[in-house]
Amino acid sequence: MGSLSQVRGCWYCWSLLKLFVIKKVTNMNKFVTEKVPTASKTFSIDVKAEITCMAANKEFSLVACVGRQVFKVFGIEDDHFTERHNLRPAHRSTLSYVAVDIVWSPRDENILASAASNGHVVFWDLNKPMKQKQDHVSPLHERAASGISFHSTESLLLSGGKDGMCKIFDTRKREVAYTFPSVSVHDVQWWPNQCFIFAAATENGSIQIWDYRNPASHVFEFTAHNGPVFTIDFHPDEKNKLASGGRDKLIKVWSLPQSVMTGQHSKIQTHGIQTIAPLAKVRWRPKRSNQIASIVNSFDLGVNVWELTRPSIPFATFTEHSDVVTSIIWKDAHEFISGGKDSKLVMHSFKDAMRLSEKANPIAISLDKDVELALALNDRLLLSSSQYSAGVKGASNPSMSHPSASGGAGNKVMTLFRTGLSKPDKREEFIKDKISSLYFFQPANQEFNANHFKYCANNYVLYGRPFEEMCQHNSEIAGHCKKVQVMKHWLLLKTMFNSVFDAQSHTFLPPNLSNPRPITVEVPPVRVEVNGAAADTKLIHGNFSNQENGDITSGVSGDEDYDDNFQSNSATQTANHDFFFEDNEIDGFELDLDEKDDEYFEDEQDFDLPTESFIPPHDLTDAGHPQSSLAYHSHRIPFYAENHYLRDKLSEQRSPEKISVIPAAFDIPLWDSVSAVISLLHSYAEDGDVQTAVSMHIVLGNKIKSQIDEELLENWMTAYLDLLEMFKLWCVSNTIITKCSLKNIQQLNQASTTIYTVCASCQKPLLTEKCGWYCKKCQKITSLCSICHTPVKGIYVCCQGCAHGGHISHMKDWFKSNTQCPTGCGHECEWT
Amino acid sequence: MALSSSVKGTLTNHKDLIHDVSYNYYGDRLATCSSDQHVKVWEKDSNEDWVCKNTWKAHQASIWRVVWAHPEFGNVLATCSFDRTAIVWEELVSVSASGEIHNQFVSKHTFVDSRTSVSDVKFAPKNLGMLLATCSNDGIVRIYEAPDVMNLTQWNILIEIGVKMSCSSISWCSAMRLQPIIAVGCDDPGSSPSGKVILYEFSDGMRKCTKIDSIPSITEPVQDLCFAPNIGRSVNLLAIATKDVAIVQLKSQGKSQSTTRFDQKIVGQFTDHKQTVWRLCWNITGTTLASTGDDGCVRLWKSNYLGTWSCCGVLKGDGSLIKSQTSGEPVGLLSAPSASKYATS
Repeated sequence: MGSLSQVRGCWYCWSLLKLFVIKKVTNMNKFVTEKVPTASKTFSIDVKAEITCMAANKEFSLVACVGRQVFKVFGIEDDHFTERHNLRPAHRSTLSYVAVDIVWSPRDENILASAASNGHVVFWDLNKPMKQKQDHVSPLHERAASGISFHSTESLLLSGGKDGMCKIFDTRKREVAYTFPSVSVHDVQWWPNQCFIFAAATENGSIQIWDYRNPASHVFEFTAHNGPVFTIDFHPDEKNKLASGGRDKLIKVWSLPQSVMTGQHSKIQTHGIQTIAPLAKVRWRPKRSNQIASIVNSFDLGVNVWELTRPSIPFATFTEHSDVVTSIIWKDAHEFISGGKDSKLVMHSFKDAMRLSEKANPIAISLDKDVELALALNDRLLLSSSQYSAGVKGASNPSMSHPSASGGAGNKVMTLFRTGLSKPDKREEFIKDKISSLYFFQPANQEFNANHFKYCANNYVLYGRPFEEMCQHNSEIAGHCKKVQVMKHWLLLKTMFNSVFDAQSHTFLPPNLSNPRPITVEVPPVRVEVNGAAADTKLIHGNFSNQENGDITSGVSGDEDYDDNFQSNSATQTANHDFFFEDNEIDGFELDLDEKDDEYFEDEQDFDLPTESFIPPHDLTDAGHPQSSLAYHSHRIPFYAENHYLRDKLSEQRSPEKISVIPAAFDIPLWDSVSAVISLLHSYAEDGDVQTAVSMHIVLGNKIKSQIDEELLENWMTAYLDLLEMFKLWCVSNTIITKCSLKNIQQLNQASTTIYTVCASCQKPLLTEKCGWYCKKCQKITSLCSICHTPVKGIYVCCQGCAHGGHISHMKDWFKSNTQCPTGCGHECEWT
Repeated sequence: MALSSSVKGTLTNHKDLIHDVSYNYYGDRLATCSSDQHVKVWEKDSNEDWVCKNTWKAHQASIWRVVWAHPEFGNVLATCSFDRTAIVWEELVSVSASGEIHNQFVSKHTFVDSRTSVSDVKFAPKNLGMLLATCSNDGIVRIYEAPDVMNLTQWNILIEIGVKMSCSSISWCSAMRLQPIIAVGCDDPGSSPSGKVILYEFSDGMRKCTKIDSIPSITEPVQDLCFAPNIGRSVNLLAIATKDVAIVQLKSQGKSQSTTRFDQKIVGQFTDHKQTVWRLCWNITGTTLASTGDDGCVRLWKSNYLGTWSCCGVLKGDGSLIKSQTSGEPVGLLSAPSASKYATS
């Protein structure tokens, strides 16, 4: 008990706090103090036939289940049902046995009454010694009966029928005591504690309140639903609270006047709950002022319990049934029985309910292209996340949990929040949990920066300028965006591809040599020139000469004619050798690369700066770097790894006799630049930076043509175009489309650009004609200008009055000085 | 790597929990859906504040998700609800006589095939046309097609896949080089030996879906899953929300017997939320993942150059910062300070 009062104490604090914070506290402590039976259990029995209605006796020890094929009474034990009576003998099956409603007499526990679909009301006496328990049949209605209800104190049975009658049957006299002319009735119920009053739910959507002492007319009537009212239920404890459910899929709760005698018949709809199907039954949960169970006619196979203050989401759902539930009876607040078309009779325990609110996510996010983050958050989580931070702090500081030790008032509040939140059953907080707010964030450290993306997209120069200039420019642009790596890579591209095969800067080269593909042996003399020219440009060109030589070595090994060329080549190279490592060149490297890489180049220098032109091959191979360094390079900067690999490969390929003819170009690092760049682009694309990959690819243009799988490239292009469209950068997008080498991409801005024309006089589509302004059928040009008498191929302006018109410029000129139609039809055209 | 954030709180006027928020393609509109059975569409006003422009009662029960279609198809929304339906909405703009522009979202089609709550709805990548995938708690994934994109009142059901477990979420993979992949996440509480995430390959031409794989390591009920935008990558990333956040890398291994085989690898699994993770969202380049859970926090995840995923920031619901990653780089192959320059471009 001590712990319970503690809980309550906490609850009061919590509630007070909540009063301040949320201003909305329903008497929560009620839930804490109520004793929840722990033994209750969910169990079921298969009755082997559809159940249409049920009734339980007052003690809740027996339940009668009735359906088309079944009429049985079961005993309710702690964890199972036992069959007690079978009221339907196998050989007899009159309509009297097919009940649409059944009730247990509140005064005699052996008496049952059922309403049959033939309009009869049948009484059953379980005490009868013989097998046949049917006691008395009373044909009350001309059409099907729909609802019956025993009076709680008097021996009166109220019955409503589809024939538009309500009748009260005196069970002692066995005769109809009163008849009430109504409309077709779906449900009737006595008003608890108002012994003369009952309510009837009608076909036309109204609920009628009757006083049986005045059978002539109802006391009052109100329209409750749009369409028939199928079910009504008075609250067992709050006497003037009526719930109704109808075909309009709504549950409505009405506050009726305290007494109908006063003459003031005001009724207020206090709550409305939207369900997903027409209602079959609504039943209040006992001892709860605001909870109601509902079952529906179709679709929804479960029993839903709603909290009136949160009408949008069921408080609890019971899903044991596999077909529509037709009947429910509450035992108490924690248990109820249900029967359905799936032949199952189920005793439900409230603690086994499925809580949809727990399955419903209280938090949602969305990220937009600008990396703005929209967060929809339940307010409770806001508390719990502060609780989270408090919990984190508390973990590191144990004194935190003791308010006096930590001292501050703020801490005290925090502690209260924590205890307040952890103690009560979260499920009972159902109502408060429902408010969400929307927050917008702009997290700063994103991998993807929209402004940078837009800046780069707008400012990258992708065509129309010399290659180096474009690289330099784009590098600066990337630099502005603090994309250090991209900046450096642009510079690298500039350095690597700057001159040798650039047709623009080396116009003396034969045109076919502007192709970056390795030069073939058919033109060896030119190759010498190439190398010479490259050397003259004073920039690092090792890459290209390497590539060439590499190819040549592999391609023509053993070709005798070749050595001469190599000789002369190497001579040229040797002559020019000094150029390669002029000071400014080294500076160029230092500018472009990191310290780590400088180390690399220093190494290269150490061994690559020989004074003689011939290098023993083993030196080359041995000059590799420690594995760690290699591993590092291969992780981040693919060039160098590739470079190593290639060089090793080359040195393997070389036959010893050829050492002497290896040109000095091998002295400097060997770069398979094209494949290195390809792998660079790949790595950008893999990292999600498709902008850089595509931009570089376009700038490089022919230099790496057809080195990337077309499908992959198309994929990149489409992805980049998609991003551009997202940012509404249509111009950039169009530039990319026009500059792209892929046919599929180029076609993009030519799609849907055809204008289809129709002949104005015969409506014949001119689609199939060679020209869009001549109709073969009419044998004439369709849209002639009224002034120049030539076909109008652009905008045709016409008068709405006389339909004459022509070229916009001609019409404009004409109407400057005229008001009448140029054709002479006499119409006063209006030019606006 | 400080994570600064500016917070704008907005009252939504939703009468119950908001279950989904969704930006449109351009990010200039926002749709929210709630248990109060209403959908709201928000736009930014001149002060850059979000204001509600449209609100309407869309369903008869809680609305779980709202998504926008690609703008190529118009301003089209799809919603799904506990009331067993999914609905496609299209914006109609009318100009009144006084010149006022009035817009309204009209229900174009209601999908009523499901017998239980429809838990997710997703439009297919636009290159497949107007396709819509839904999944429901009865364990059936349905794919619908609007044969005429100009007439969204006509939809045909293309495929029904029985997953046999209650489905919670669905995601299309947008990689262009592969056949489209659909990942389905199940929130079934029971155990399942093959895992709770199942991958289907959708062959547009054959009008069928073939189960190609499942992710056996995901055994907890899945609340949400989301493919990262592919944008030209050779691998696909799938983020999965259970009690944890998991990121699975799927690499195409080429075709075998007409279906693509995938090499799957869990590249990240994080228990930081400590409670149920509800929603996931990728940024447009698929480089940052945001996750939210019952702890009320947003966590941002991203990978470093080695493909190692880690948390790069935690935001509390009201926008205050709980934690941001301060240690620059995780210990890896790079220990030299100069090297980290490359890693943090």
